[in-house]
Amino acid sequence: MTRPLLGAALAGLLAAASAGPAAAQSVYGLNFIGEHMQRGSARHAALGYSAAAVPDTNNVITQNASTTADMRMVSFSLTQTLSMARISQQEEYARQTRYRLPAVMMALPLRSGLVLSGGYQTRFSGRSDFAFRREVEEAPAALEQYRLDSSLFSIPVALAWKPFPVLNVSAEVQFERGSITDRVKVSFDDQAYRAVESQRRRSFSGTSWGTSFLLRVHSRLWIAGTYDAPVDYTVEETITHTKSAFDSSAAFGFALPAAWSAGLAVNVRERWWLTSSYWTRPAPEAAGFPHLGGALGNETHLGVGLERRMGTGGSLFERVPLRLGFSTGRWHLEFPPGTPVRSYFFTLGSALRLPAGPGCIDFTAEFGRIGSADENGFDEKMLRLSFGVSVAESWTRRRTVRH
Amino acid sequence: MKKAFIYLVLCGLAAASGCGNDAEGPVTRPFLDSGSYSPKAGETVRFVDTLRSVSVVDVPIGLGQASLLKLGEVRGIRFEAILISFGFDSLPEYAGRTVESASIYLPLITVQDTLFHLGVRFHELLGPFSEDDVLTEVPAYAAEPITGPAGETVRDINIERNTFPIATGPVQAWFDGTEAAWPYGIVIVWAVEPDTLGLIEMNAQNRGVNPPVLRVALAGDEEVIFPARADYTVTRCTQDGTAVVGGVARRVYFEYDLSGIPERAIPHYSALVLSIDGARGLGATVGELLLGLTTDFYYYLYAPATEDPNDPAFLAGTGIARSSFVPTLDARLRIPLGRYTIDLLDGQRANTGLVLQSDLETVRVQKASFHGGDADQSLRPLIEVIYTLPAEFGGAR
Repeated sequence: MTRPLLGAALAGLLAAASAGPAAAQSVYGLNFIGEHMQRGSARHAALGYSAAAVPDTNNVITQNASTTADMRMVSFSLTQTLSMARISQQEEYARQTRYRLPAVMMALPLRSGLVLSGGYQTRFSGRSDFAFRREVEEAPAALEQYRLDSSLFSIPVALAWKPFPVLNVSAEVQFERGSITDRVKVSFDDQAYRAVESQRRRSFSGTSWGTSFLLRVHSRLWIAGTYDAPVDYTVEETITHTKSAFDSSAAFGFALPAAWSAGLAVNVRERWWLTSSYWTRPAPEAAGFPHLGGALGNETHLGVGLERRMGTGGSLFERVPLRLGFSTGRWHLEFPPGTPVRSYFFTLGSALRLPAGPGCIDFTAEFGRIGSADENGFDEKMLRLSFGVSVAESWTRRRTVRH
Repeated sequence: MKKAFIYLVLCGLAAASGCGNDAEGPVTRPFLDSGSYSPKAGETVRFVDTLRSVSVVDVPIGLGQASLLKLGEVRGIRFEAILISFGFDSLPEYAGRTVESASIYLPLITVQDTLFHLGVRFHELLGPFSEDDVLTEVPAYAAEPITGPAGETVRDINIERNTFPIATGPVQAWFDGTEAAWPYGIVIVWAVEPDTLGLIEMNAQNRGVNPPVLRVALAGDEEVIFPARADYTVTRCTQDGTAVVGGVARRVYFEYDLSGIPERAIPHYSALVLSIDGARGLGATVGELLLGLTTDFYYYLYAPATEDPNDPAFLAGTGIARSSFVPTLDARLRIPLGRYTIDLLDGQRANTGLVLQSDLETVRVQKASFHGGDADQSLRPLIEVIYTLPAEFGGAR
């Protein structure tokens, strides 16, 4: 009975993944390189992404790669997020439902305290599809259509090591890839009229590295830190038009500055833990985005969380974990220039153990707001639902039996 | 625990399938207007050229193979003569017989309007004609008309009269072998200009039934019929102005200038725009409607191979559009130029203008009349090109 249930859970997640456009997110993700996706699973989301210092022997998608050093089994994790937003801008409003491309990670313990992990995680994404009416004298109704499809993703390969019982460290190589595609199309409500389309595609590629640690200062206190080195992207840009004579191409560099974070986890009472993390990255140069010169600031994220960890006895409510959190962030984007875009989210979540074998399903709801009508012109109220699945299995070396 | 899993999955599916999206357009406008989202569609413009020149080109064409013969005038198309050549192959069989009477029978099928009548004369042709000829004028004929039994020369054709007796003297001479029987046939021409114009239509021998005939009554109560073996309506257009006429044939040549369109323009659509003057158009005559023909005017638009209307190459070129419209209804006609304008703006073709002709030019007499350059501004012919400039992806605007 277990496998059908797990299959159903995965099918549900895949249905969510395929039911609509992948990735993104906030209407502000239309700008720059999109909305930044914090690293972490549904559990981390439930704690307001405050769990950099939370060890986890089950979830491979973490805020801190060094936490995987405690894994004893081959593990696989997947996290999918669905967001529903109501965007207000003066008299106008729109409701949007979006899906993120799932993050997937797999961990392979090489020996006790040495774990190799890798997978796929979206760093930035943006997706938008909108149109405006265009009036042309003595012509059928015309549409001015815009479509953005943006995804910068990372393929991290991390090695986590536990040199001492109180210390985990990790080193990570990140292969950064992705593209931002903008399409602009003017079309008419008449097939005799040819649509005129222009497209800019920017392909990003680069390599980066990162390192992190997790230190048990006391049985009730853990601290952590992460560092992600700058990413020097090579960007190849091609612009194509319906009239190919106007096509062009160019290449340039785009650098994402280094980012770091610090976090702590405090065991306040029995199964109750208080967590907090702070993450930041300085403002990037506006290379490739000259129109945003002076409109990019430091990005920061601060989260606090309270978790009652999973128990082993009592009723279902007594056993399941309870997670609460709050986070606030500031985007690189300033809109209008000089006015940062801030986000505020209250989070809650829980998890269920898989009926058989190690693993769990995490689920989280985040309620919040991105931007401000007064300051940014847009007010985006958002509900995010995240689902995560983690499964694990012990792999043993095949033995040759001689008779 | 298992139920909890099921609920969880169902919740996920419900969330995935139960949410919709509104149009994002209005709310994203500030990002576009401020330049924060940098792509920007280029401007869309309707370019209009009021045509450098509009002229008509007459192309000699004849409709000898038509199913109907016509006399009269309608919508500026004058059917001014009918040529008929009779087959006298059987005449030797009756050599020496006495002629009591002779008459020309014209198989009228309609008169438009019914009160219309036309005075005509019959003359003997002085030269041969063929239905394949291109006759833009009435060929030479004998000055003396073919007279009736009482010496009358002008006959009145109307809805009640389709048989016209002729004097027996000359006919008897054929039977006696002293004169040749109308070796080139006869021509029926207008004798007078009627007060009111109209149209008389009759079967041509090409229709295959009830053709024009010459009937000769012989002594002994015997009748000999000599049927038409070739017939022809000589037609011309009497009206000036911007008109495309089939059967005559008249084409309209439009010369235009697109140099005002920016080099970076990417066309959506281009068209030759004309205003149909329905009151001057001719789709089908009553006789043609009785034959089951439609009033649709089938046109063909091409870019001539040369700009010189006197060059034979002008009569053909690159086909651009072929369709139909009703020429008797006032309407704005847009003839799409399709790929042609795109090639023109790309410099892949030379601008030699456009020629509009009837696509049934050699089959039917039809007329499509358009308001010209001296008409009201809203009715003038023009070339329109709707284009958009390439989108910009740069920085702030």
